[in-house]
Amino acid sequence: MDELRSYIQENRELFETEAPPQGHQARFEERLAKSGLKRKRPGVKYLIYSSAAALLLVVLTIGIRFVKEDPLAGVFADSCADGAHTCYYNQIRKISSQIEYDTRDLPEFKRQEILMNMKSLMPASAHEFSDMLPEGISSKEAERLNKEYYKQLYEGMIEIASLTNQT
Amino acid sequence: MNQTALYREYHKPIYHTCLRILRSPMDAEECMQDAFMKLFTEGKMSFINNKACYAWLRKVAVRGAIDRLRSLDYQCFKEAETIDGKVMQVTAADQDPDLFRLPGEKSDREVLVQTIREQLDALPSGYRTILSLYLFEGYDFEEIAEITGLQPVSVRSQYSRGRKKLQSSINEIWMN
Repeated sequence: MDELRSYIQENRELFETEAPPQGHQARFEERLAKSGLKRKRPGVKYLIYSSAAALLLVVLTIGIRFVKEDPLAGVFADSCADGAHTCYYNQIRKISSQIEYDTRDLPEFKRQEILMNMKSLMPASAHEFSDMLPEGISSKEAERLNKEYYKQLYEGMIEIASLTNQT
Repeated sequence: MNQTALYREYHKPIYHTCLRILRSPMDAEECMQDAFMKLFTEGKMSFINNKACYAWLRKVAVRGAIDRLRSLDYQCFKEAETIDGKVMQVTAADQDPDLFRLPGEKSDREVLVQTIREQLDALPSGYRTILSLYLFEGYDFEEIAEITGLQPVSVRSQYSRGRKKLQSSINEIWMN
């Protein structure tokens, strides 16, 4: 074997004492990270398709839910959850006006049926339930019971309002 | 072995392979990183063992270094090949592998190593590349011909002439 070749192989570590420039590994990792996008280019298509499919699924889910929900739910959203019972009372009055307006084009028998149901739920005043409460009950409890009462009436009115759109 | 472990394991020998051919530390770093990039980004991680992986990396690094060198120093390579084509017959007689004589047995190893390195670096890039591949990387002339794209006979003659140049410059230093 070549004498020089043997000498070099025997003393190889002495020929390779220089270290690569400082920070070479960090630079390499940065390069690798940048090229990661390039390397995954074939996967980009897959990513686009899967994102589109996910988006479609979300849109469909929302759409189906929206269709299933009462379209009047948005119109008659419960804005009184944190308010007093009078809030429900006022909402009931507004909805009743809306029902009267919405039923004007319906067949008469249908209109009468809806309006009759509506009137059966309509409270005479904002304190009709308070008048029926026993004496000695705390004002806080009275308000809670009042709220519960008018809330049920309010929900019933919403149900009736939804009938105006089903025909 | 994961990417970081592979890089840590082999970056140094690959860096030196590139450095011997290119001489510039910055170019050598890029050349080394190019080889690893190729390994990691082209999905060539399924080697039978680490030795095969290193052999692949080294060959990629050598090819990359030669390409880089050619783009920088194209003329030098071309001229050396032309001259070798002409003197092929003459140099055929000089291909005794034992021609190289190391100066005195008692010479300080580190000084001798330094001298060889310096004189190797001072050689024209064509000779330097072939000497590096033969002496350090352990490739035979056929393999070097395949890697460099030169004729095997041209590789042999370039090696022979390069080695003579190296020998005479080392001798000159040691005589003085």
